[in-house]
Amino acid sequence: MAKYKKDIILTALILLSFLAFWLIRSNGSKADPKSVNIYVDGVLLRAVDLSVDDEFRIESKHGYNDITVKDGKIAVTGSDCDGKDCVKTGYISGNNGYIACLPHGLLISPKGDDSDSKGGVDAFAY
Amino acid sequence: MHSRIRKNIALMGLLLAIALILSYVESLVGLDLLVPGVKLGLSNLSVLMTIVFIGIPEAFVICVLKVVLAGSMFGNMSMMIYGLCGSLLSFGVMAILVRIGGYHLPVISATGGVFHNMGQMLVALFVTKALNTEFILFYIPVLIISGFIAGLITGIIANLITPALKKAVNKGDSTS
Repeated sequence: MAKYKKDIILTALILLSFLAFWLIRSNGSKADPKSVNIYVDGVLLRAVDLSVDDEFRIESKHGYNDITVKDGKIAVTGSDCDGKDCVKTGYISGNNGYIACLPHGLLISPKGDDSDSKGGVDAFAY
Repeated sequence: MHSRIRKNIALMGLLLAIALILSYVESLVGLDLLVPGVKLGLSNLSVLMTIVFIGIPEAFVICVLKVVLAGSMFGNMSMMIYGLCGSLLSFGVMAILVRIGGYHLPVISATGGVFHNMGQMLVALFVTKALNTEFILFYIPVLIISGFIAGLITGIIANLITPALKKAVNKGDSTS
């Protein structure tokens, strides 16, 4: 056991930091499950009401993302980006997570973020 | 002495080739771990093996060549930047742990995995204006745990293949 003492301490540190971040992250339950905001490059592009089924395309200088709203959930269903991670994320509702398409600077985010997200972007990125 | 250097160069070439094949297979199969975009990072096996059998400076060379070659052959510029930042941060932390000593491969690799993800998050912060504070706080725990698990799996595999590789390397020693 003494042989693995350092390993155990380091593993415990990592798991503790995981736990700490897990606990302080907002669980999103305060956010409205029926609406999300779509940002491109940190600028609010449109607010989407998830109770109305819809399909539309978001185009920017980076490329396009096809957005589908269905049964109160939203997904990116098509994109000309490289990794297609945005498409793989699948459907989310307004209070269970985010869809990010980093190559296109696109972020679909719960509406509860409205109040301080803008300051957050600036504070972090610049 | 010279035969030792020759052998190390041959071994590094082999490990680099293995790293490129593993990167290629991973980019094809797309084994995403927990969240889209988080990969197992099997090519880190080559970096770990180079650290174990040759040394830290040589492993640094493998680490950089792996990302630059894989990025230019079957990736793109942005993949290369993300990969380079993640890999360099991860390599730095793993090298420090190896220098300190007393840590075992699975834990070294797992810690490297965590910092690989953190490095990529840092690049994302700088190259896109897309991320907001809530998003980052939401994903940091996910990135920590997925990086840890991915690195742990790679490290355990590295532990399993070390004896076999050691045998192969030593076999060469006795004949030369």
